[in-house]
Amino acid sequence: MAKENNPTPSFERPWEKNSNAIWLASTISLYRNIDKFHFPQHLDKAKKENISNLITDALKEQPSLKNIQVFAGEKVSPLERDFLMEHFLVFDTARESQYGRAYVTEQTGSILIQVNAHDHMQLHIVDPEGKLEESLEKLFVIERGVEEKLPFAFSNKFGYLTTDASRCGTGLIVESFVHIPAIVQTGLYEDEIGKESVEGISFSGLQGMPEKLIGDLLIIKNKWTVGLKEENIISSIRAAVLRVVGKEQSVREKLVRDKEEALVDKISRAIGTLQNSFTIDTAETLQAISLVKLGIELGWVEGIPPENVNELFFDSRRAHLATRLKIDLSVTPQIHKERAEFLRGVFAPVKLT
Amino acid sequence: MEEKKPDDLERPLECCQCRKPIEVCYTESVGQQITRFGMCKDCPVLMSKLYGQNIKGVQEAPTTLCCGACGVTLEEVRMGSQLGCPLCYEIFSDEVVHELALLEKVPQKVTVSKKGEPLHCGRIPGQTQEIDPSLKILELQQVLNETLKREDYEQAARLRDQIRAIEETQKKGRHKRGKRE
Repeated sequence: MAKENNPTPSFERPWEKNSNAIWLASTISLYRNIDKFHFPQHLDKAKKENISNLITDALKEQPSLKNIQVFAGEKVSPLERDFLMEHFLVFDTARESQYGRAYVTEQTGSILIQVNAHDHMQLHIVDPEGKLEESLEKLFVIERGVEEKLPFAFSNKFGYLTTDASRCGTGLIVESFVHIPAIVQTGLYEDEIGKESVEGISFSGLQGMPEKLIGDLLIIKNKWTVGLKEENIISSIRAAVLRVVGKEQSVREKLVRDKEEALVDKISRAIGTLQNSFTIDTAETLQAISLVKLGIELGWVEGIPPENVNELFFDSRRAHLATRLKIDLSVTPQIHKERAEFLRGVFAPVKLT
Repeated sequence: MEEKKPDDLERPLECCQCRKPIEVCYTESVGQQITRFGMCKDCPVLMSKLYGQNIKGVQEAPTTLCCGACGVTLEEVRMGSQLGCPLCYEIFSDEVVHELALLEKVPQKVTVSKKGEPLHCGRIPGQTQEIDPSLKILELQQVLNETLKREDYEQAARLRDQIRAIEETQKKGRHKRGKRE
């Protein structure tokens, strides 16, 4: 990943060719810090680099990580960083200097390890198949391997110690991305999801607010990392996801039975937007793609396979699009025109059945 | 008047002071410039902006206690700043528990029933125990019961199929292990 060029990722796209209708993917994250060291925000540049080297050396020795690539933070451009965040469905809120930070990827494109972001080591795995236990176990294998060489900060009272105390204990965050256009577009969100209060679980959109779901994507995430076992966190997320999926399926089945003209109109307009826009931003794109995807699932739209539409949830986002079209964002910060042109080509054969 | 908008509306919002989730949008208009802040509802900075500097809890917080290893102070911890090192958890132990309970970042039953006892009950370093797959069946069963209560029989049938599939996989696994033994 050279700084001068836009990156051509040398890892696979795990979410490619999936035709998931509702539960699109999940990201599981583990937060760990090396014992005896200050947390990253309280380290100077030299110590950060020292820790970064220790962790990346330990990761290179892990047999479960094939063809790993290490990207030093100061050499990764903002575009490349955003590309990684989009690919792994991770929200990088660490705004501090990139010095001493690192990003580690491996061949399957499922695992990202952030070094010296909020914590010394943040392990993420993206799982498009709903196999949460298996995915977490993959992270544990890496974690145990590193721990043999570099013991983690741990206390009997608080568990694994993290920079943000609200992530201590298990240090485990699970975020599931669920596509619920039928519930949202028929105005049932407030009744079906908004009023529901599930203990220890939060519902939000891509922007972090529950009342604004960009692309009708609901993020289901655990609020608690301490006071629960890892398996309880996983099982509470799965139970919450299955409840939402069940509700979305029920609404979709009703829609198939009673084809609502108002919704057909919305979907038709979404197709028009994607086929005819001259300039379009990410939020409007995701919203239109969401409606077209719903139309495909209900059998009202043809001309594009569902797996291609799922890929567009990634490929139409800023960093993926700029990378694909080789756009230099420092020269062209607004890529709305290029996005519109790209989408016009992709959606040209799409029409109502 | 020009208002600055984020280029992309995808990033999660968090308090500009302490990184807790945003609950209040505070707009400040000075001359031609409008500045927008997203803040958590308990943000002391927001309180001082709204009610002046002498807000209780902001000015009167004791500032003496601080971590000898990294220099983080009790006031910073109360402001929602992040901890600086593992020792902070020992120095500010009570405050961390208090903050976690206040922000509902820990199950209530844990803080109420386990006062002074460990909050953590998950894995410990070196533990290799795998996650029990039968938990999957339990949670599916729970969702199935709720679905039946709602009389959503189509969804219930799908959940039953999933439970059967997991049970079949487990049976095959046991059979294989039995043969090996």
